[in-house]
Amino acid sequence: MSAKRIRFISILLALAVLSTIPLWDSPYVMTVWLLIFVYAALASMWNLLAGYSGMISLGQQVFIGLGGYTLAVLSVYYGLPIFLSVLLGGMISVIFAVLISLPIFRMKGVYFAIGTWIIAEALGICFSNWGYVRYGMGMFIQPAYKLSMSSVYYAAMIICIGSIALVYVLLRSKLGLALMAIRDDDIASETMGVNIFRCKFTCFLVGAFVTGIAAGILYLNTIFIQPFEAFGIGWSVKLLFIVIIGGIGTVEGPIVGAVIFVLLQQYLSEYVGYNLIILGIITIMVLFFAPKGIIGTIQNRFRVGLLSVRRQ
Amino acid sequence: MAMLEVRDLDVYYEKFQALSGVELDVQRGQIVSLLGANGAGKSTLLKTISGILKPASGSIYFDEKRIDNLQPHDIVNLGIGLVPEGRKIFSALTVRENLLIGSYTGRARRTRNKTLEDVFHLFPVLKHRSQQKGTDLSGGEQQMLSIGRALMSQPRFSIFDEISLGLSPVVVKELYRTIKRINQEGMTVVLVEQDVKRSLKVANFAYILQEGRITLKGNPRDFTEEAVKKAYFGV
Amino acid sequence: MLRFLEPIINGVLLGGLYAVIGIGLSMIFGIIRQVNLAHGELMILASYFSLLTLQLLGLHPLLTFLFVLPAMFIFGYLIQALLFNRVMGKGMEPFLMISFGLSIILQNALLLIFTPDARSLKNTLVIQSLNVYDLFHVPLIYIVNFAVSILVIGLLHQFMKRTYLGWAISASAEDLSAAKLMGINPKRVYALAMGIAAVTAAISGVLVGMTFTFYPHSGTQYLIIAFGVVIIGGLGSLPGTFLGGLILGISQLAGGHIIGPGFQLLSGYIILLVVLTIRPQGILGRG
Repeated sequence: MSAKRIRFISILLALAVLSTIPLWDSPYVMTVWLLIFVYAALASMWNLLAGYSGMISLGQQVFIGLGGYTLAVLSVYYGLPIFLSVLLGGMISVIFAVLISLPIFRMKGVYFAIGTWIIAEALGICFSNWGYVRYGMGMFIQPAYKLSMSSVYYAAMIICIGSIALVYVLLRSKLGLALMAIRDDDIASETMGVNIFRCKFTCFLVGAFVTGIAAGILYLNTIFIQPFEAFGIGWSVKLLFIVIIGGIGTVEGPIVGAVIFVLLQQYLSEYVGYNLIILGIITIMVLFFAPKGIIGTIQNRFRVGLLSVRRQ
Repeated sequence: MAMLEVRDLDVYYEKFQALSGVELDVQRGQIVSLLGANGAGKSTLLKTISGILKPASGSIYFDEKRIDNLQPHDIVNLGIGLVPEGRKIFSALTVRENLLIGSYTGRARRTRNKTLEDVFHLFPVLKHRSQQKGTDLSGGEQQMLSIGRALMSQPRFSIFDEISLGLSPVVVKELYRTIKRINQEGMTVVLVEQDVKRSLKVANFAYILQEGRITLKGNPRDFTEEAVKKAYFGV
Repeated sequence: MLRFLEPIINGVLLGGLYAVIGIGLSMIFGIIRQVNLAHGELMILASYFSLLTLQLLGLHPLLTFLFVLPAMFIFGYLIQALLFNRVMGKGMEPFLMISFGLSIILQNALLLIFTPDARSLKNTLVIQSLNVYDLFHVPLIYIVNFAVSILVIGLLHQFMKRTYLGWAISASAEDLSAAKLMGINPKRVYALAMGIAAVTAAISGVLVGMTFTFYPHSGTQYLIIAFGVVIIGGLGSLPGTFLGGLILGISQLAGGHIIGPGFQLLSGYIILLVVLTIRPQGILGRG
């Protein structure tokens, strides 16, 4: 059996096992894997921007907040079906992404990073002063109470598989070639007809869409949303940690990082307050000593990859 | 032992090999000329000696001490002064401040006032313009400032990188006269030049580079025009 | 029109403080072309340090400078020497992420040690205000802030113009290769510069602590203010930083006056986003 076949079958096997988890009668395990799926989806989008498109964003929480609040508003005030609201959360995120893309794409590098951060902070202020969404007190997403945990679990699993598959397909497409060309030498790639703006713009929109949906699913689990938490910089901290540890610029990295992150969060949940500090220290250590993260270092050493997008 | 010894030097610029197997000696008190066409590798060699570039293989010794693994500021402290191509005067500083910053390191800083007087003596025009912004000077004056600044670090070994670029022959003649004077007072000099004739006239020893390799070396008085052309262009 | 007088005057005075907040960030950006995302936390760290000193020794907040400033200089020097110097020359991303990580560590460490309660460095200047012909009120602390900021910026300006280290910093910012040829050790210069930046952050941190309440997470809003000051006023321009502070201060207070106090920060953010979009190098800055 070829290496490719083995890889394919092992991925299928793993997915099959994971889909049986709701039958294990352990809400704890389900919650852990639910979180892993959602964080993997969120992180792979951050990775698409930072690791492949050269856009380090400190403002992805814009779409997390928008996705969550769309879900809340549509399902609570308008009684829309809950998964439709989640989907529309993704749509609203994309629309907002399009709206801000004109100013935001004029900013490069550190300006882009801080610019996205400022937009998130601004939204946080706006939402906490907006009566419609109950100001800073936040909203309870009551319709989510009726949902069974397994339906949220499967939704999380779907968005995770979907986002990883999406990234994989994108990177093996013409867009992916263009991104790699830009990564190597962006001026040269422009002379060869690569439209840098269009590539980055596409990635930005895709990222917004998936992030909005994944956030919705996350809030189906937590059921409560508050403006400063939803639009807070904490999200970017977590995504940065996951992607750096897992391996920036790799497809498998966000998955590995998400697993480590969620398990770490569970383990450290007793030491409230220390977890972000430890996250920060580990991130810095990894940046010093293994900047390519776990997957990146393995790929360098052993030249293997489960979902490698390199052309053979 | 030569004052500067370069042994089997390979240097890469990005992925391109700029120097291959370069061997070079500079004896104390000499004026050595380094010549070659554009892109032959002269600047690369100088940047490697001054520590800005690191060689892929080979070694450089200064006064029997290995320097190719040192940082530029350490190499300056050992007594090597580089007058860089393009002068590189700091626009944020006045003429006087540009000179004084040349004696940034401890050893030179202690005697900086005396050294400053010596430099003003050598280049009186710098004294007249000492309060002006460094980059407000003419090309020739900036070149003098760049040389003076390098001298402020009290080097025993000075490298001059393309100082005649963009300057009139009269000014260049004056600069060369100054270099000869400094040499007579004990400074070992390496000259990198485009102006072949002038540099061969003043040098004790010369090396010619072509595509990263030494193609001719020796006493310039022994060079025939034919040999020089061949060493330059290979025809 | 007259009812705008108070927010504008106060905005100007506040702008001075904002300029000091931004000057450290501007200096570092000028030399190494990187933004230290932990700059806000350096400020707040100093505020908390001042609080400790105040509680332990019973000093007036302004006197805590004696302890806080040297300590913060050393802290700034060390974070550059031990953390940032390792990734200099490796591009924008590593520095950004390490400074981000540092900001998170500091923020949460402060949260752990000092709890999320609001704090302030109690002093009388905050309560007293100057009554100018009954036209407007100016809290005395604003005047003190403005005076200190003029002093700090003036001193920094002189430092950059007259000392060897100041020249070394300017030279390294302009042309690093040429600076190295002068015998300047870039890593040492960077560390010293970061130390100085930390001192300016500390000064603004103590003043902020005296003027407003602060929390462990306050660093974020001050980082954005610092960034705003630098962007609006322009990089590499000392008078520009002052102008940036003024514009930000006025727009914040005027905006808060018009829309509502909850929107003070927001009006500043909007101005900042506009400037970032049109002219990232700032109004007075060189591209």
